[in-house]
Amino acid sequence: MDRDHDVIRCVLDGDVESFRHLVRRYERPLHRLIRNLVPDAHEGEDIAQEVFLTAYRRLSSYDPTQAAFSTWLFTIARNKCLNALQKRRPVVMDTLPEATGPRAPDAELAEAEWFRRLDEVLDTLPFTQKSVFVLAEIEGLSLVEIGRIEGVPIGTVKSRLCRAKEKLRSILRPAEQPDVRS
Amino acid sequence: MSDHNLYEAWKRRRAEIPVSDGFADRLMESLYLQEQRPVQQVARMVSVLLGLRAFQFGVCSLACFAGVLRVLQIIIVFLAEQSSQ
Repeated sequence: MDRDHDVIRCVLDGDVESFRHLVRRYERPLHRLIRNLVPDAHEGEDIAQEVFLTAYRRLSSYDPTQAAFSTWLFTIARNKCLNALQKRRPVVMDTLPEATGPRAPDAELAEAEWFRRLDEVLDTLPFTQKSVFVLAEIEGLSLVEIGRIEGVPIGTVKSRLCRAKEKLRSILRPAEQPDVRS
Repeated sequence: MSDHNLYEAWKRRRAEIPVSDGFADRLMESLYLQEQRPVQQVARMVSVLLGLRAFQFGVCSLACFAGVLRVLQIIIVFLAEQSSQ
């Protein structure tokens, strides 16, 4: 069963085990999306499970003519992550961490330091920007697909992505010569 | 390493999220447990039924038929009153 549509048809016809094909196919991209939006590993795992269970329950409402199954699944995941974050942290931090600071002596440590800073910036982005950034840059989805997931026009997706990238790059810009760049 | 390479390396690192062992098995286990609950079975049946075009068409037709019947009833009562006068 190669196509999602065939698998979905089997599940809807009562073959519950066929749902395992969908889980195996999408567990990795789904985990990647969720863990990039919700950093806590345990919470991420719970959300991933919840997303698949919700998808199973609502499978009959999925319309293949409207969007790809992955888009539909990612929409559920994105909304679950937003709900989880709203419950945990109602106020979104909008301040960026310091762009400059002590640098590690060797290249590997310096690289790790840059990664840590980029992680921090990503975590401080408003959810709408973070979500668009992860879907575009980490998951590699098209702007049209992201627009469907976010429920916004492509222009809005572009501007959110642009703002997110700008904030992330601003962390790299101030220090022109960290130890890792040779 | 240039800004671009550093940025790309960071994105690659963010994309390397491992899936915990046995995730699919655990999920399918909860799914089967969920399926065994009678409430879930009824809810699923209702959900499947509501998703069927034929069912939707049937319900709408029935509603239209009931509506038309009611209107006819009113018209008949009205006409009966007119003729008795």
